[in-house]
Amino acid sequence: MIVEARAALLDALDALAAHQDSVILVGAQAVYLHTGQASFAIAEATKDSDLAIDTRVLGDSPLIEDAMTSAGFVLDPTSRQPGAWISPKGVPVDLMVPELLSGKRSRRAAKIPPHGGQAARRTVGLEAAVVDHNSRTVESLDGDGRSAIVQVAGPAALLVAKLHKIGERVESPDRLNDKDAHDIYRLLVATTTVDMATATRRLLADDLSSDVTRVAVGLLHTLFAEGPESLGSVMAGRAEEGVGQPALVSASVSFLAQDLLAELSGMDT
Amino acid sequence: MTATRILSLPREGYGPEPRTSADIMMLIGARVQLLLPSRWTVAFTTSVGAPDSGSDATLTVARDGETVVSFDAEIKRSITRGAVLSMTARLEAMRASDGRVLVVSRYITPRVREELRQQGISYADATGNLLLTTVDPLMLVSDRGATSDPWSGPGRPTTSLKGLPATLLARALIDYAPPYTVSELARLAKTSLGASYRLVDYLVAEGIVSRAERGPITAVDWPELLRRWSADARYLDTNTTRGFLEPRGLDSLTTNLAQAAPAQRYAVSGSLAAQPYAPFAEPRLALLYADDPVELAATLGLREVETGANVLMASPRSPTVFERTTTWQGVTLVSPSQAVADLLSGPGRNPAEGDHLLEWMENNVDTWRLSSDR
Repeated sequence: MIVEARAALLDALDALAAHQDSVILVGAQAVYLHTGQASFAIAEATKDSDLAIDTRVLGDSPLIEDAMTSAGFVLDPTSRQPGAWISPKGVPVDLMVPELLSGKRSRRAAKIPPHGGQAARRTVGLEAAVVDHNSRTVESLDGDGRSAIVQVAGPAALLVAKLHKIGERVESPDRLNDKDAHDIYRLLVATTTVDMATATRRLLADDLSSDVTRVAVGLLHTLFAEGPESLGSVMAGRAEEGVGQPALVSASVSFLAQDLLAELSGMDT
Repeated sequence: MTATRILSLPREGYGPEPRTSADIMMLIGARVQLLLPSRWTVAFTTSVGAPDSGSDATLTVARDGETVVSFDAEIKRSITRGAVLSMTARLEAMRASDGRVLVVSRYITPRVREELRQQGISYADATGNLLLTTVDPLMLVSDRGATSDPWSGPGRPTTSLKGLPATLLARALIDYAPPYTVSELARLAKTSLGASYRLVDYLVAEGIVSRAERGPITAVDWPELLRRWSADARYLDTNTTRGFLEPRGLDSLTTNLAQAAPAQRYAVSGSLAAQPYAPFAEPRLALLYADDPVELAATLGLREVETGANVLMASPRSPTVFERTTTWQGVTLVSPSQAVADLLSGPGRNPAEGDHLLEWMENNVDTWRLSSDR
């Protein structure tokens, strides 16, 4: 599954090659690129590729919808959501624009003319990803030798995005996905507390990302740092049910969240 | 003395220690009687005296007052596996003369019972471990009693591998390949000569150590010794342990240990100590010994937790754990023998990991076992 997701990502990067500088990899595939060294009880698994678009550096041509369709991508007819693309092999690729860069109010679609209203979806929390990213080479996993250079969101930006994703869905628990909380656990394990705090600090200082980061720090507190029984900690543990050590994961992610918050408040003083 | 009195058993537990042959036979008689159908009775004779005085007994089973079978009881104060082996020839002779033999003692260990069973020898102890068997007439009376001696206490001869001298000696007997004399063993183990002789005598009687007459130790059944020592000296029982959580997992723990190079003495045991030799599955629980666990935990950024620990740390009662350590990837590990002992008695899947490491040790004796002149 992850092999196919990676292939679809490379297809999408190929299609958007002209906009290379404005495309940033986010989501689970970005998380795994940062956390591959550490070992976890549950395998890396994702079927989709999530790409954020930094409209500040996005060119006008080619139009995103034209670039995608000429590479064989189609908009997912079942979800009928803006930015929900399907690769020629049927693998989802989501194009998203941070809320603050999405233009005038619209419920779902990012208003980024001249690009079409269905090309990308507006998403809260991705502001951090357009501020904190580094270029990396992403290689094909099926041995065909394909590779591409892509901007990958940093661990702190991914933490902010995942916290918003969970935070948005707290009120509708059936949309909560335990794997999102486990991805937060992966990020906190694989990144030292000092590095994570330093990067978070930079996000708090940047006008574009400060608001979403402040909200994310609050979510980190209520969802994780309050203890192993808090919602996010429980979700992270539950993701390992049957294959790993749920209680250990819940306690660990909560402690790591506490450590990060302590490091952040230490920097304030 | 012939006893045909009413036999009674203590109301609860095993009662006071039976001190004489008659006391032991009376308890055994009562226990056998309980197992027999109605109209069957048991009777016994004992000559006055203590066990081992050569004054032995008979135990007779009768139906409607008519003797069905009679056993010659050989009463022992205590009985070891070695004693069974040395008895076999004599018992063989008795059996040949149509005598039926019953080995009797206050308490008989599971291992000795198994040995007797294999030899086809009937036995009985005062706690109710029984096997009365004859082929003609065909009879089998069998029952289970205590699994450990209810009357053993402090001040008795060494019958276990608990305690500091036993730990030092067991580790030395396992880690160093014989031959060596008992005094050389005492020096290797850094313990007293007296303790060494006592333990070696016990292990010779148990069939674990072979020793030339007034000479050196020639062979050690070290896998058996390792298992028995582990069972007697469980990590969690013999050491004061604290549970900690390394929230980034055990890889992070070992990396930090290697980088921190703690000033105090420490050694890693358990699953992690098996990694260089016989990696099993992803280690989930770390066992560490440290002179000051709380300080080491602080150095490593571990949190003390009541439940859900992935690191157990103990301040060892015996400094033996720090003997013959090795360094692997910058981390100090206990010897394989210590790691096996801790794993076999450890929680979760540790015992399976211990078996796996023990198997590696049996296949790679030259790799880890030391010669005594080193």
